[in-house]
Amino acid sequence: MRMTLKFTGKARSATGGLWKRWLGRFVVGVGCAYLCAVGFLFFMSGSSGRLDASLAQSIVVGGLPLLIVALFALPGRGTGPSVLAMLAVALPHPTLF
Amino acid sequence: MRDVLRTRMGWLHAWVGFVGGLVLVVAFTGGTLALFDTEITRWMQPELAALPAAAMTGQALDHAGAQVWALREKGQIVFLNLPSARDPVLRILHYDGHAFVGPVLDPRDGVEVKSRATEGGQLFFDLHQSLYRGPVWGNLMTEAAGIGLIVAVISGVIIHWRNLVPDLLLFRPFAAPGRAWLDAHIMAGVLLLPFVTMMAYTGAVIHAPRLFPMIGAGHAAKAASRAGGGERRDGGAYAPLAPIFAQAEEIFGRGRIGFVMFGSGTVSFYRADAADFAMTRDHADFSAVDGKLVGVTRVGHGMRRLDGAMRGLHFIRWGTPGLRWLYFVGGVVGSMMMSAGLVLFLMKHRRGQGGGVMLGLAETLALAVTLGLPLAALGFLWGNRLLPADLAHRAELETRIFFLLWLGALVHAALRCFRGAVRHGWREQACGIAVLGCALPFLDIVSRSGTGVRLHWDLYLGVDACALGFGLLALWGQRMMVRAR
Amino acid sequence: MIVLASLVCWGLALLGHGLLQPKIRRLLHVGDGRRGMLRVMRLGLPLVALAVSARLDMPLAILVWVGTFSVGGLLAGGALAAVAVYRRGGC
Repeated sequence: MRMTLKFTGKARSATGGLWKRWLGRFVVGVGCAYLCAVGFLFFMSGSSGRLDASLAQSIVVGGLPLLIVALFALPGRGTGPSVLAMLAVALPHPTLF
Repeated sequence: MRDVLRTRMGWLHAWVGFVGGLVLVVAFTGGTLALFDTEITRWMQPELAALPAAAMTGQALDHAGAQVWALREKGQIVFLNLPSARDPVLRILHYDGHAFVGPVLDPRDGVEVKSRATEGGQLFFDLHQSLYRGPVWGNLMTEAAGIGLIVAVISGVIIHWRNLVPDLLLFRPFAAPGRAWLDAHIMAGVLLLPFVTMMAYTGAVIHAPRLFPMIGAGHAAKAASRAGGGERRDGGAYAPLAPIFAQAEEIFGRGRIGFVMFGSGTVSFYRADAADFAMTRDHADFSAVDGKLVGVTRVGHGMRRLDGAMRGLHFIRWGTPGLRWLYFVGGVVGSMMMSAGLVLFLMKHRRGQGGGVMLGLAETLALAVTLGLPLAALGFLWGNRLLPADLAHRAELETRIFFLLWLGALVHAALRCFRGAVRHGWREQACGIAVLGCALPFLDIVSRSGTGVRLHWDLYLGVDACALGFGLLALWGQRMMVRAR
Repeated sequence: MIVLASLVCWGLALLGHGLLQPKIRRLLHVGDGRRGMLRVMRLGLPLVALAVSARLDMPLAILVWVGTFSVGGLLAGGALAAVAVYRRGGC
């Protein structure tokens, strides 16, 4: 079975389902990774032993694609782990403003 | 299809690679040409070929300074670019929203040299960094595409992990078309892995404030804080620039001053980007009235230089010609590798189906960025030489020619792809590149005959040889397509 | 000159690496001989390229070494492909 832009028959529903699931996972993964990155940057700019802005951005730009791939590669159908990761990193930091 | 890591990574690589690749091929091709933006600009101003190489004199600098102050008093925000090994003339530059343009001055006396107005190689620089869409949305798109490229690289490495080293040089051009394209894509991708990753990463770091606007102020804020120009100073003469320049050279070293910015009451001499690996824009500020040193700004060592080091690695303005050519080859092969990725994606989705609107659109866009862009770039060079040198608004017209040609290539691609003649579309655009590329050296010689063919011959030879090389490559490619029918 | 020397070293090293791979040996109809020499080339020449590049200033040296790896690899891959096409045509 191939992934195509146009599907036929049973293959269409099976592959289409998988395609939609992966697309959803990718979108959620990118959103989570972005929020994690923003959370990290806020944390670094607000913490007492603050990192240099260039260094923080360099770390974030290196980490963001890794996180996107890692979230996409996580086993399981749900997006639970990525949501948890997002909450763990991003939510505490708005309090720093 | 089983939902396992390899298939997931295959999906991620294919879709991020294709959607991002449409932007990345443009950014990579533009960036590759922008490596020689100064040289392309000089090629596009053939009147400068008649100017013999000469060192800048104090008289020229003072004369140029007086012209800049006069322009500033008229409300224009301009600065003075000093001669360098790559561009041995003085230039009074202003930012037109896409490129730094302005009159050229003779380094011997500071008198304006009549040369045609052009955006030159900076068009490709702007295309590379913002797709000519400005510093907000354009930068954001290339930034997102850069992150996408790193995602595609990581997923590609995971897919190919087991065969990464054994198949490093495996290329079978005689295999089935899909396999041959895949071999070429993988071989170039793996060999260029350090270069592509480094360029994507440093580029993404440089424009990171675009992706995280809530954190950094970004370039716009920096530019705004720097600008502060155009205002009129009340009365009095300005100090001549030559003695101040000598002081600045004592601070940063001989031949290490790149450009001069003019503020309200101050003149700032900036260290050249070519002077050091880290592009830190160190500068010495002097009083514009009496030329006394006001202050020196240097970026210290350690983490503060990180941003400059990223820029230095990405732009390599400090690099030797050999390194610049290495980057150029990396950029050309990188663009081809991404284009091969686009072709592979289309081949995979073309199998077993007669077409469809989405597939037609994908093929149209892939053809327009892969061959349409080089075609438009060559057309831009042709337009530069064919338009009269003293035409009003000629820089804008040249740019319009570039984008009209690119639009034409897109329309042509759409007509071919939606009518099921994709191969014809690729062949015809390759033919266009072959004609424009192979004939460019002749156009150069004919249109430069009145200026001085022998002076700066290496610069013209470089541009002409590259155009000829790409033309021959396109000719070979289209012949291969004919044979493969 | 240094760039060229580093390029030649990397090209030969990667050529050696390619000739050690069973798939490429089959494509080129190459026997099992001279593996030792190819291994020495593969291991030694990158170090020679590094030593040559190290004569340049530091960030430049690393960039030249890595850059010549890429271009040298492309040249070596192209050479192997050309030989494979020639051998295939000759068979």
